[in-house]
Amino acid sequence: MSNPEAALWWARSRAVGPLRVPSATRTPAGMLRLVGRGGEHCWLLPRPPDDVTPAMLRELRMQVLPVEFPNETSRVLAAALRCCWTDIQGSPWPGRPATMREVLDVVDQLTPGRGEEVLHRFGVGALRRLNASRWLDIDDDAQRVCLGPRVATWPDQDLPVLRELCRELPLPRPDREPDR
Amino acid sequence: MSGLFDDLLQPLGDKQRDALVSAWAALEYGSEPASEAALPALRDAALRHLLDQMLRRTGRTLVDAGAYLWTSGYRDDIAAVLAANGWGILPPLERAALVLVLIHSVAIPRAEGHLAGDDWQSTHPTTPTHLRKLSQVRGQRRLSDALQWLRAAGLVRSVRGADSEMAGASYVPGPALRRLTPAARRRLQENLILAVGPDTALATAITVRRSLGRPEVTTSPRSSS
Repeated sequence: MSNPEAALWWARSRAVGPLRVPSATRTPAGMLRLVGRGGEHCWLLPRPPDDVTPAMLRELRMQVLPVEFPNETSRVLAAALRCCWTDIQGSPWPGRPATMREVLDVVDQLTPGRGEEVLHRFGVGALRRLNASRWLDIDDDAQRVCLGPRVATWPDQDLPVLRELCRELPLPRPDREPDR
Repeated sequence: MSGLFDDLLQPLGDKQRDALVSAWAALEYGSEPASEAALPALRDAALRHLLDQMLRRTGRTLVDAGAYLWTSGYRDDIAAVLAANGWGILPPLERAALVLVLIHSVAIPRAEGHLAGDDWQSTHPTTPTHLRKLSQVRGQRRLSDALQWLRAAGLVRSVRGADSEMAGASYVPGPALRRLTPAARRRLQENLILAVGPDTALATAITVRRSLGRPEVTTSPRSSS
């Protein structure tokens, strides 16, 4: 089966990450289609063979590309999941929008004692990295954080652990939400 | 189950299928080339051919990284379309920083006879002096951001302690450059020649050959495979 169009869609997605396209776009062969809020656009993501994930590399004892500031980046992603994944029995994506302040407040509770400037600098850096890799979808002007399309590719078998992790995290404190 | 690979995977038994999918993950997700010793699908010529077919359906291809190592990269025809559309190309500052690393770590050592091969790997660090003192790139913070971006993409790798004059990390080309196909490696070499020596006879020969639409270069140290 030769499908030049699908090959280009897959390569483009590899080059730039999940693709945000108008909803009228036909789903290329082997790709996952996620309809975003409002229904005007959707995300296209490749579906690997047997839905294999980079976790396979651990079994093979191979290295993945290192993430910059991995602890901070993971912490901010976990905080965003805590804020956005409100129906915790369901799928995490798309979840509900949260504010940057809410997400950073959860991070603040996880790592108490850091000054506001340090929290902001490290937190915003991690938010930028997660937005670039589409784990999060951030609107800078509105200071709004949504879960990105990559969250929808989290394997079902890993969701119970993720739910437990989320339940253990603190919620954003209501009195720290002047933006909302 | 992914529709794109069904007809290739369904005829296989569980063991072969697992071997193929593991190898696909190793090639596409791994930061370094994968070894034949660890992956049966790379050792077995028939399975390796199937693996290449899987990759080709996604715009990718198997790349021989030497010493029984394999990785994956963009098919040359697909890479040309991606570049023509501006999909996934490096921003100008990141491109400039990468070119500096390639010139100081590979092109100059290669011209001096210290490096053999054409795989764009090197143990000769590009130092903070090269990057920040001698280059024409301006804006220390922006250059740091660009190098961080290149490091995250696997295009450069940092090494420490290589510069006695200036503090800061030095860099060598990263593992992502091993994903270049033989034709892509040649294009990169030619583009560097055109950039740093546009008035040389070699640059003229490249320009003429390209204008004639001839794909091969006579100065290549390694023939296309």
